[in-house]
Amino acid sequence: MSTELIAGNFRRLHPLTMLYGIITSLPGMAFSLYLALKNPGDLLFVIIAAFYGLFSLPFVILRWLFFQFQITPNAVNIHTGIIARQYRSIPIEKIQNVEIRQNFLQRILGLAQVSIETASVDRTAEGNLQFVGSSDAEHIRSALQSYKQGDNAPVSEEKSDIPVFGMNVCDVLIGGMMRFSPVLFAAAFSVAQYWQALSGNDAFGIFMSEIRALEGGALVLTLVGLIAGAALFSWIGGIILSFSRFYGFTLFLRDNKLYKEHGLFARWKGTIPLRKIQMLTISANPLMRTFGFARLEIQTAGFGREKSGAEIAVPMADFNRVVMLAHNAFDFSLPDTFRPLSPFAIRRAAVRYATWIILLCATAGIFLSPFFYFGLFTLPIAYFIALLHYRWRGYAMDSFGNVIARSGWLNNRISIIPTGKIQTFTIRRSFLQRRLGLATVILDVAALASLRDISIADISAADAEIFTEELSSLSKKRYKR
Amino acid sequence: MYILDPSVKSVWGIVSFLNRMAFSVSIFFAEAALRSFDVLPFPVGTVSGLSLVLGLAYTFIMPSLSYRYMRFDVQGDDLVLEQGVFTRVRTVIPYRRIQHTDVRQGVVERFYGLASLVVYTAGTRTAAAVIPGLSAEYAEELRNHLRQFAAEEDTL
Repeated sequence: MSTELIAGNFRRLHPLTMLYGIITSLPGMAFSLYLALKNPGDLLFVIIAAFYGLFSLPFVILRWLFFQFQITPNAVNIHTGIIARQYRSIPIEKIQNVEIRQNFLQRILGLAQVSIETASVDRTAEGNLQFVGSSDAEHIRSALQSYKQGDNAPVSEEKSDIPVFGMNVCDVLIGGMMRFSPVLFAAAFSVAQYWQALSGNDAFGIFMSEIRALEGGALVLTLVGLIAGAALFSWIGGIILSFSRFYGFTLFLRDNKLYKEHGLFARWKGTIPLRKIQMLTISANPLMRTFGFARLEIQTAGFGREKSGAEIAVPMADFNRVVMLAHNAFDFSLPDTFRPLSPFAIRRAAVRYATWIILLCATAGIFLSPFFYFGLFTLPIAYFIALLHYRWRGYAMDSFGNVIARSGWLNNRISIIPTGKIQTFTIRRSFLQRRLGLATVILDVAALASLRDISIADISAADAEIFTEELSSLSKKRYKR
Repeated sequence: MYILDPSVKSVWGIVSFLNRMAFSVSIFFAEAALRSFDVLPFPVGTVSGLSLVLGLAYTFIMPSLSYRYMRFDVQGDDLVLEQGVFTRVRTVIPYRRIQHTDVRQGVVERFYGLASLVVYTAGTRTAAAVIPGLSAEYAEELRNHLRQFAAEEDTL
């Protein structure tokens, strides 16, 4: 199989791709059939069901027939499209990252998805092979890597792996317990609403009207109970999810690249080329911080699809260990003290939090019970949160020329950006910021990082100018050397 | 710091006027459609009229304000771009970070002999910086000037 690959012939995807396509379209088909049978005589649903039967199945087969790819030492060529043909060519030197993914069903069928990622501005210029055989996926990845390194001998033999980090079952479980996902928390609430739609009885509606009838202390108690229930639900859900995701986590170093592998049902495999690392993020939620844990995310220039460009390199470990592990990426030193923001940052944050509280109380007051207007008495809290926010934030430069920014009073994050990786420098001043003499410095990098990781908000306008000037001249010096 | 060609205000005004008009007309049609189902709680033309009035106000006020706060510089090693009426943004793009540049010319811009220079970097937040309101020749000149600094193949 691999010799055929390397010979550069045009090939089709794995034939079982068709079976996979059919299996995944089954729920939609069943649903459309169900709708058609439930509403006899309604032409619309008959048409939808007919569409599914007539188009979706042939489409799966046609797509397979018309999809061809070729891997040569110079480029990956992918020809797709049934009616409108598309001929895509990805030059080998533009490839930033090759990611292999497998979900549970794909694993049973022995299929894997290979994503060939580039760093171009045009993010559609990517290659997706859905799906090839799992052993072929490995061959493709190693062939691409050896082509990229310029030696034309394909599939170089395994070099020695240096284990960097691993998690046993116990570590993974504890990691899950430390997780708190707001998504799951919201999901717990929406499950209650779907219950109504599925079961047909209006338990949720009755429940809501009962809540509206409640007054004072009883209302607060009920709400606290509800939130606690949802929190428990999302906590247990989080443990299960993160266990299945990070089970058997291993991170190892080979040949200037970090490789990671994890997952119970679906196996995730990722590559982090050390040279392509744009920034590091060490984060900890309040629970993790209490027990001295942290996680490490590495942002590379390839757009790893997992969590908006970041690869989770260490899901959870002791804070000092995380810092030590992060040194595998590049040299840095965490400062003892950070430069503070402008004190006026407190005022801006207070205004922002106060606006949130007012909006929340007003909405709850209008739609649930006028009792919630008393929530406005919590307004002073906005000031204290703003104070915490101010205390936690800060920025610094270390002796290796990295920008180190700290943010998040609740979920503490430390992001480390090498000056040489900064693409553009932006100073933003909103209306309120100008009134208070504040500015936000945004350091754009080639990784899809969240805005708050690359911005230093609410420092004084003069500091922003000086800091940007300092960084810009440092990055110039580094470049010339 | 350079300012833009003043006729860019007319370009922005015309483009904005056409856009707001198209928007108001499509709202008007939506209103008419809802009216035919008897589900519109107010007379046809209320929302579209309102959007037209606001749109026209925007068209009259914004171009000159945007123009006043927009300037750029191509001295030294960086391209500097300042813009923004309410939120002022100053972007510094070192020349060596530029991946490629485009000269873009819309229909209205062509009528006034203007063009925009679009500068792409590998960054994700400011992946494309646009300098509008340049004379077509100057835009070409600027692009040729920037091209000699263009990033080497692998600067990530």
